[in-house]
This record gives sequence, C-alpha cells and structure tokens, in this order.
Amino acid sequence: MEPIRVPGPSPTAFHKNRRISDLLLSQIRHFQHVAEKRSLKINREIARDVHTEGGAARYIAVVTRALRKGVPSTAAKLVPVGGSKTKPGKAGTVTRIAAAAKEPRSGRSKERGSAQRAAAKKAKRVPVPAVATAGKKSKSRTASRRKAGSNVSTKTKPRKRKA
Amino acid sequence: MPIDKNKAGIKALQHVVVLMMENRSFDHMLGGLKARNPKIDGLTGNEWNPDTTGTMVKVQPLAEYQSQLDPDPNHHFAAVNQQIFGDPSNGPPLQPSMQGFVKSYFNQQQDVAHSGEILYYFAPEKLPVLTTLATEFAVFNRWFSSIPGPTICNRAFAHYGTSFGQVSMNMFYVGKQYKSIYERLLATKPKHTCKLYYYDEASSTMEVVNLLQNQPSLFGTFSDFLNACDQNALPEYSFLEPNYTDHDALDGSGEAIACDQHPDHDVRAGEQFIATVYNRIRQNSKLWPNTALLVVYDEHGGIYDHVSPPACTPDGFSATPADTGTHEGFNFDRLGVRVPAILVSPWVEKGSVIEEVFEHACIPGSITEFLLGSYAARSPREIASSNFLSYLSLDAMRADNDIPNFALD
Repeated sequence: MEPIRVPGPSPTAFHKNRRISDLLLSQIRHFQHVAEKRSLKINREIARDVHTEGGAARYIAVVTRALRKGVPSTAAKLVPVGGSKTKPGKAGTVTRIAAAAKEPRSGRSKERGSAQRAAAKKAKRVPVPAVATAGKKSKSRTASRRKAGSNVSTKTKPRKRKA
Repeated sequence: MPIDKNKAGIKALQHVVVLMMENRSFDHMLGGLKARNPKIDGLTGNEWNPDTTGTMVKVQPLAEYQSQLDPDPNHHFAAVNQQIFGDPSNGPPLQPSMQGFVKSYFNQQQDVAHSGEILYYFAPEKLPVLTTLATEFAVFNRWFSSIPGPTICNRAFAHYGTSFGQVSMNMFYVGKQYKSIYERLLATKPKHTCKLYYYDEASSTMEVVNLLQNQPSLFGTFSDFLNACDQNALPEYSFLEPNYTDHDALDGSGEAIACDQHPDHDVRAGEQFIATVYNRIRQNSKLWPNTALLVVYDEHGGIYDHVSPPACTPDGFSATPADTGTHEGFNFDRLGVRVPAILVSPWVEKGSVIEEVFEHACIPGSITEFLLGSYAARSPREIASSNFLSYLSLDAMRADNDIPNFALD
C-alpha cells in the first residue's frame, strides 16, 4: 500500500499569543492550587503572565518540573517526531523534542485529602487575568484573524516546528 | 462484550495505547464517511438545526482546519443541555432532539451566519489519517463522551471510570473509593507497567492535582513514548495526552504547535500527531503484532452530532443544580455527545463498524479486565461497560501489505 500523505499545519497556524481557552484556564487553576499548597516559589512574572498560550505554557513547565523533581527522565536524547525510525521524513519536517535534564532527587509529600469543593473555591481565589472563555462573547472573528496574521508577520526568523 | 482470552489477538496482545484527543464530535470528523460506507452512522447531508431566526440550517462539508470555531463553542453542562434538548435549563423528560447546536453557538457572538458553522463537518479527504484509520481498522458508531459536559470530568472517566460526581472543570480531589487504572496496575505483584505520557512539560497533563502531584513517576513525555517504542520498552498500558498549547519548544529548537485539535488549533497538527503515534507502532515489527491503539476524543466540544446520547447505568453519584448550572441535578444516568473512536490493530477486521455502545469508563474497564481480571472496587459505570479489546477478533494477523502507512509532509 502506498504511503498516505499527511499535510502539515499552515505556516500561520502557530499563535503562542492566542488567549487561553476555558480548558487551559482550568488547567492553570489546578496548577496554581498545587503550587500554593506546596508553597512552590514561582517567578512572579512567569506566574502572572498566564493569559496567553505561550505564557501559560511557561508557567505550566515550571510547576511541572517542580512536581517532577527527582523523577528520572528517560528522554536523554533528541527524538524525531515526524517520519519514522526506518524511513525518516524530509529534513524540514522532522522536528525535535528537548532532552529533559536530569533533576536532583527530592522528597514528595502525601496527599492530604482536602474537600474538593473547598479546594475549588480556594483555587478560584487565585487571581487569573480575564480571558475569553466558552460562553462569553469574544472579539470578532475578523479581529481574531487579523491578530493572528499580525503575530506571524512580527516573526524575525523562521523556526522549526514540532508536530 | 467481554474479551475471549483464547482469541489469537488477545493472546498476542502485550501493549495497549490510548490516545485521547480534544473536543470534536463524531459527525464533525467522520460524518462524511457515510457516503463511502453507509454502515458508518454519519451524515446524509439532510441533517439540520434551526437558527435563531427559525431558518433551517443544513450540515455542510465545509469545516476548515482553523479559524472557523472561534470563539471556542460552549460545552459546559447547560450549553450541552441546549444542544441536546433545546433548553439550557432542562433535560429529560424533554426528548434529545439534537436541534439546539446552532442556537447554543449563537449565544456566544449573536452572529446568525457564524452560528451555522457549528454544523460544518470535514470532507473525508481533508482528514487522511483519521478517515484512513476509521475505514482500514474499526470505527465505533456509538462511542459517547461520559458526561454531557467539558474536558476534565470526561477525562476523569478514562482514568478512574467515574468523575466522582463532577460535571465541570473544578475537579480537584477525587474520591478514594475507586483507584485510578494506574494505581490498580502498580499495586499488583509483580507490578504491571503503565505510563501517562504528556507531550512535554510546558503542555503537561490535565490530571494535575491527583496524579501528577502525588505520583509524578507515572508520567513521561511524548519523547519518552517514542523512545519506549523504539527500544521495545513500551509499558503494558500507555495513555497519551496531546500538546494543548502553542509554545516555544523548551530546548529552544523552535515552535511546539498544539496538536490536540481543540478549537481553534490547527486540526492538521493533530492529524500529524496521530500519524506519528501510529507510524511508530506500525513500523516496529516487534511492536505492531502485539499492540492495540485506541484513538478517541474526550468530548464533542459543542460541535454538532446527530445521534441522541442514550441512557446509561447510573454512576452512584449526584451533581446538584448548582453544579450543573441548570434547574436540575444530574445522576450520571445518561451519556454525553458522541465522539470519534477508532481501534487500530492487525487483529482488527478491516472496515469494522462497531455498533455496541461505549463511553470512556470502558477504558479502565477494558484494561482492568485484560490485565487484572476481576476487580470489584470499580464504579458501576465501569463495571457495566463493554471491553473494546474484544474487537481484536481475527484468527490471523492481517498481511503487512494490507496495512496503511503515513508520510508526513
């Protein structure tokens, strides 16, 4: 059977300044809850800048690393995502994932089992910048597209992309 | 249907991989396949919803990869009530007409023309990966999301077989009466092997408070998953989460584009992600014969589907009207909107169309039955669920030249 071609995303699809969705807002709240419970020291600017996908990702990476301290990583080398081991894709389409640095071992606290509703309320108190959420009126689609376009045009150099 | 452990495909089975994508309905992604195979319960082209002016709006194969579903369609409990029953405040005994999707989407922008785009579906040729897997392996005609609500409570069913009474994203601490599938597997002696792979640390997981916080060693990255495939070190059970955000790659190598297919992310990135997972298993001759891959979506994301969700075994939990945001509580006794689900294995009959009803509670249910056998402390929904692995039913593996491969552009 002939290989079936799979087109990649548009060059303009990447938009790290896109406002976070309702899903990502919830994910952030869960991370904020855990960070507060564990008294994790997060850089203030990173903790505050969570209203775009790129900003949220930076914050999530910091908290995830803190939670995974001491867990050995098996991602010791760069791994191609596109293509396959035996039949690598074109050079331009094979992208790479970062090697995870080994982190020092540390202790881990046990879940204390607090009430779900109380935890949810507490988490809601953690300030999160206003975002466009499902069910709320958002900016017009035209404006959204314009913004996406302008984001692309400000790029200074082409970058590799992961699938 | 339970599994028959004497079947050749089950005897050969060593690894199960579940890839859960985001927020697309069955009809939106696979509805166009009905024209190719009438057994697939997709769209005839005559399905419609009324818009807010009373005009009949028909489904059309005009779905685009990006920019069409902005803002993200509402899929919280009340909005899904409107989509299914036509009333955001009330559910049964109203009949599930599936006539409220356009009106529900209208609420977000008050744009009549735009609201009709919630009925758009993909022409099959626009989704070569998903439609090829659906037609070459087994597609489920009746796989529903577990709850008529959003992501996190639906994903909980895939990990625990229940959401412990939650119908929203505010799922912080789970009950202790039912263990996650991972805890069950790791509690055995000798331990079974399992891993929950998120894309990278910047995307991370939706299971933050319970699993990541307390059992960080359960997790690995997508890179770890690919390495495990190459080194024939895949766990018995793997659960994959896609990249949820557009972000700079953590090693500074470039852009990590979201591949979860959540609106408004480019659907093609998700197609490539699914193809990468499939190819990695498919092209390893030591892995392909003994691995089953399930590709499934967590919920419909507010996007149209024409099949009314059925009743189901009550979960034993109740959500209050305050939880649901409607006039009614919820006893977890009916399912959410239908989602795409595809089972891939060389032991699956080509072109299978499965009519049995499934929902996400069957994921821990199937893995538990396959690896642990009987296990009492499970939710009623999980106990009542069927085993999706039972469709590895062929007596002999399919020939290698009969199996598709994907080439990523």
